[in-house]
Amino acid sequence: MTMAKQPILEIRNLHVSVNHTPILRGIDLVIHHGEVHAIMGPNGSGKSTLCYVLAGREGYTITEGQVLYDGKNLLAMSPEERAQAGLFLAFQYPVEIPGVGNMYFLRTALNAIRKHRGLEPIDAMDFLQLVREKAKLVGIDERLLKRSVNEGFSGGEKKRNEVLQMAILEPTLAILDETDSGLDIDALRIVADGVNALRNDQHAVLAITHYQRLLEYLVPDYVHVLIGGQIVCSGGPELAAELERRGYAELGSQVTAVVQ
Amino acid sequence: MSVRGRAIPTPDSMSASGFIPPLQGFGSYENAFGQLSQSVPAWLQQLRAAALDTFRQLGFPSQRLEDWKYTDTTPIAREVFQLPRRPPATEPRAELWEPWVFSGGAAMVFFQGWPLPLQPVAPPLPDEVSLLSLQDALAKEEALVRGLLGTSAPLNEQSFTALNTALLDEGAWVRLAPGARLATPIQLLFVGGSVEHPTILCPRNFIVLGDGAEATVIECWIGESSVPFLTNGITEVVLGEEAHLTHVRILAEREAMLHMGLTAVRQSRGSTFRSQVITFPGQWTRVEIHTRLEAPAATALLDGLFVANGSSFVDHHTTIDHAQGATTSRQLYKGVLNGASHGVFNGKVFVRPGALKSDAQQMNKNLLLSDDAEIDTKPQLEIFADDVKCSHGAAIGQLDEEALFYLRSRGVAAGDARHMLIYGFANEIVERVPWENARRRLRAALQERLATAPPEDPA
Ligand SMILES: Nc1ncnc2c1ncn2[C@@H]1O[C@H](COP(=O)(O)OP(=O)(O)OP(=O)(O)O)[C@@H](O)[C@H]1O
Ligand SMILES: [Mg+2]
Repeated sequence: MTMAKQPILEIRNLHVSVNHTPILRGIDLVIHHGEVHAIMGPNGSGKSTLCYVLAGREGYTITEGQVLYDGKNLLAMSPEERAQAGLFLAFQYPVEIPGVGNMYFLRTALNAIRKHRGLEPIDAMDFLQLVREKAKLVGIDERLLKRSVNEGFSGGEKKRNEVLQMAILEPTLAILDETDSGLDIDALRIVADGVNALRNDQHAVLAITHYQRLLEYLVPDYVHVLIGGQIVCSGGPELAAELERRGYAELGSQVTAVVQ
Repeated sequence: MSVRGRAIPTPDSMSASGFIPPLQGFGSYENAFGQLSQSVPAWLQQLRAAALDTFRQLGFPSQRLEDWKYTDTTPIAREVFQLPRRPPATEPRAELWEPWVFSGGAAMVFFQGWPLPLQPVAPPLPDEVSLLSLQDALAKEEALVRGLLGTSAPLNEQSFTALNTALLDEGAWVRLAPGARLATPIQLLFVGGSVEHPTILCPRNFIVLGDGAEATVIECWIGESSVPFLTNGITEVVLGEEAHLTHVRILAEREAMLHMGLTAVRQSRGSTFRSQVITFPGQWTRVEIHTRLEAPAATALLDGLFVANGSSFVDHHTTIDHAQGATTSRQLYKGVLNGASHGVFNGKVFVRPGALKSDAQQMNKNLLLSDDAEIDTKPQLEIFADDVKCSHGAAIGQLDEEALFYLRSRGVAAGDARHMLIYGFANEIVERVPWENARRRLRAALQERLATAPPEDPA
């Protein structure tokens, strides 16, 4: 007999404001190990806000609700504690950090996470080996990694670099904020492969996307639609296809009608 | 952006009241002048005497001068300096200077301004390159020295230039004949300090590139001293047509080291002057870079970094003179100030009447790491021509919150992330130095001065 594991992420009635303006208005979402969830929704509906709140960025006021990560109060943890506990956010707009070498950054991050897991710092040669292997996997030119973090990277290269970091850090919960936007079709497949590589009962994925295309490679277990800071409906992969056909506007009005 | 400027200040707008005499009188400077070796050509002795007269009329600049508004020369004016012994009484400790000889190319090492007779560490230079001490150059190429001395750094109302000329005895002479190209940098290392009395040193260097010549010259000024040790050095640079010079100027001094450094450049058509100034100051430092773009298609690329701790004072002044049109300049200076240090940046860009299609960009960014640290920054554009592209800006700030969050979101602890960003801010300039051995040395110096974790790169 196996005991049902507790969810990796449990969001309960989450309300978030920025400068007294409510952005998220009562989000409920439960993600278990082994699941892939997708969130779709129009521009400005609060998808990135949700991602940032989960990753611990400053500037958001939680006015109501709670978030449990592996049963612990996520919102009380610092961003680095969250990362060390296995949460990873692939940024919609990755940040350029001139003067900080990509490799140095990656190794520092990996070692911080390893330390938390009770592991020794990774040996320099092993690290190089690991990066080589993963760089090849995500199709990122190794020469890019000799540069500063994201400095002068093209939009697509930045996204690939996010996937590379994910592949190296092996997060328990990976959140991808529109990692597929601005990617060519090959890269899209690479993102999907990266996610699928994490697809086992140890890991979970929350992927924000505007396009059904990604979801064809990434067949999610659940699709949620976020409009106006609320999840207005949830379903299986077929929901994404329906959205593609009918658009948010129709769905939005339909839902409003139901609520009224 | 096109900006119309104010009138160019004329030299005589400087009144005598803009200067202060040495607090203990001129006697020590006259004594020093009297002690100089007289075995130099008569024209040079006359030049020195004239310069001493100029210095006697001026004294040191005071803060009433616009160019010295934030820079107090009292730490210099109050001292009674002597010249160092010739030859020096001691030898420098090898562990002090050896780490700073890293080019693998030709090097000249000066101790207290005196050339050390070192074995050449590099293969001999090709014939079309002269690397000599100034006294040797006077013996071998006197006419060339005479023709160049003071042409980039004219002896006028500049007190420190006058003082340098009055007490001029040694320096480095680097000359490349037209078309000569050096793949490996030439290194000039100046080791100061190790004296018993307050000491003044006035080295004069020359870097002369003939048409089409190409070289990298790395100047390092290092030393530590418990008694005031003033270096008042000048490097005159003349670049022929299509000549390309990369000039790296590293200063790593400590304690009671005082430093006034001027690099004065003249550029011909199509030439490039790439300057990288990296300063870890002792007690008091001012570095000036002046370049005159005298013909079209001349380019000046100026990068700078200063990292100050404790109660150091560090000042960088740059002047880029777009004397002719179709000239280009780029400037990025960065400062990191900790403790109770005080930094100054003043960057002047002149675009002269008729210098059409000039293109100038200037930026100064500073990080203040403590409440007691201070920066005065003044980027200055003076534009007297139409149809030009100029921009400038200055920023004083804390660390980039976005970048900080990005690092933390990958598991890097807040304190480490902060260190990484401070290091990265400064290291951006170090990474532009086109010589890996120099970068490696500079990264180590950065870590030490910023007290950050070793960012050695496994790649
Ligand atoms: N710091 C902020 N200050 C003010 N408003 C903000 C801030 N951050 C987000 N918002 C607002 O919150 C709303 C949700 O923004 P968010 O970035 O979460 O949208 P999104 O769903 O990710 O959109 P997109 O699909 O365009 O990426 C928007 O109206 C946005 O303008
Ligand atoms: Mg978004």
